[in-house]
Amino acid sequence: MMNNKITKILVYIILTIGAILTVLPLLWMVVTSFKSMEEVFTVPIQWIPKEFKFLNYTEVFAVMDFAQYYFNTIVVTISRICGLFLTATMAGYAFAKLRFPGRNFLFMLLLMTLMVPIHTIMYPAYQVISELGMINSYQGLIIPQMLGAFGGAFSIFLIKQGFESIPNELMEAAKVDGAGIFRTFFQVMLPQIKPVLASFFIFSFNSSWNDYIYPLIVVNDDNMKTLSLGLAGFTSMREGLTNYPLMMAAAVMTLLPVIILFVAAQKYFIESAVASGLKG
Amino acid sequence: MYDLKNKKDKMIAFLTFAFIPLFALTTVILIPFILGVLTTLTDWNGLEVTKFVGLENYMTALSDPDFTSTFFNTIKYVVVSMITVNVVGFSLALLVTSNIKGKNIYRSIFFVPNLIGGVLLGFIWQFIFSRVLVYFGKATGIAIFAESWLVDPTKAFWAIVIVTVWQQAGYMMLIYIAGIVSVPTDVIEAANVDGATPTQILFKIRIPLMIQSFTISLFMTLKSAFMMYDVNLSLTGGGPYRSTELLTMNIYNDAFLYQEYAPAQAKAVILFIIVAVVAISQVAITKKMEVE
Repeated sequence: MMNNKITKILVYIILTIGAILTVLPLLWMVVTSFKSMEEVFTVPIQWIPKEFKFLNYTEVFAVMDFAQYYFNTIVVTISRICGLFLTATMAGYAFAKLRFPGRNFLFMLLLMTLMVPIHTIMYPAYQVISELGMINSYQGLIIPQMLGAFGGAFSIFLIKQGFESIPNELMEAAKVDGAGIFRTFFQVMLPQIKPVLASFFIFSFNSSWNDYIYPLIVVNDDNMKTLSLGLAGFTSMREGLTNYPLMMAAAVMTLLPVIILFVAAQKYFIESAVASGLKG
Repeated sequence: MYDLKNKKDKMIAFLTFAFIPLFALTTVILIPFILGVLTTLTDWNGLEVTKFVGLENYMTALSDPDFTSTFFNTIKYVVVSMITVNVVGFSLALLVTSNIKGKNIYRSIFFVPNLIGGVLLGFIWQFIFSRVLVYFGKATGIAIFAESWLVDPTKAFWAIVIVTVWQQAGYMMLIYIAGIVSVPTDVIEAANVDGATPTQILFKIRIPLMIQSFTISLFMTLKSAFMMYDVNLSLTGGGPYRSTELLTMNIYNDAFLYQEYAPAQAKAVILFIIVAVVAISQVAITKKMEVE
């Protein structure tokens, strides 16, 4: 028993050290965002700023078109998720519950797309998008991604696994009650996989919000930039002395929506096994 | 399996549920992919194609010393980061599934770094490696931190690995947790009664019964390591002296900075072939080990 207790304490210690190491860089980011430029470089590191410079946050909006980047990112992310939600749930449902010719072959093909690096298709995609006149436009940023381009296959896979765990009797019961295929799908089946959908929202929100390389290809006009592109702009200031407090204030504001969404959905996400695409 | 009896209904179901998403994937992935492969067989210069050149672009790509060096950087990064991320993720999963309080808090905390985009991540850690740790090293006299890790090729490589572990270990932990809890407890209890040691239980019972988690985790870390770009860019920028430049960065620069479209595209196709071969063999091998 004694031995057991020691292991338990050891587990707590390791986990707590791990948790501290995980949180420390983030805490440092938040702290720095309130510091003055001089205070960033003081030794020893000041964990609590002498005075909180909230002005850093407003200054971010002055040094770059941060409001525009924020707006663009919101528009792009929400549109993409709406589109992806429709296409991915429908495809996931089709692969899990419907029969059609070539189903297994198509599913294999879908899984194959997971292995295509964005670097392999980025240049041709750029050509197609520019051919269509969609460079520097919301259409260019949204449509290809909305249809489930990168990460689409993963979402479909996740949702397919979710639907597979729902018994077919439910669909048959809905059919007996006179529901058509659409009503069965939207009103009976879709609400059954809420935990999976929570994972889907976290993953797709996250990947769209943080997406860097795709907007980098499609956008070169400052007005159309998303947050990750805007943040990357801080590197060009690197030659001089990077303004770390401003950079970190921008970072905190960028991260905030992601954290809020995660906290809201984490009950489903952390407790269930669905995040993995394993049958939970 | 639910079977739609009516042929017309079957068609409607296929068209609405499967056709639209598949059409989308075809237009945004398959077509650019095929276009990309065709481009590599021509002398496309961004404006026009004058002739078909066969495999010449592949020869150019393979004989480019930058390709060789970034290729080996990538392989090194893939191997090292895949192993470390999975070892850390699996260990965390074992720890948070043991009988302790506050499991969900630990799980949430470990997952949080995964929410942060690569560009941001790179910036935060760039400061930590080049400033915070340096001050720490000078103040405490720990030699390894006394100089910025990002100016030394070996340490800069490890910096990228550390950041990768920090970002991905929590996600892999979740996948391993799902595997660990899926192992039936009565099997473990029976082994306990038979006098198996915890190590034996781990390696002889738990791990073989949760290989599926390894299949998924290894696949995901492998693929993301091969495709890594944003952290590389914002943390080291490929430096010092291009020693940490990965293949993806080399492809991007060749295509968009130096406008060597066709050879860059050839490198990108080679990258795809490597990812596909490695990932498919990995999945095939681990799938074979799965116990039903």
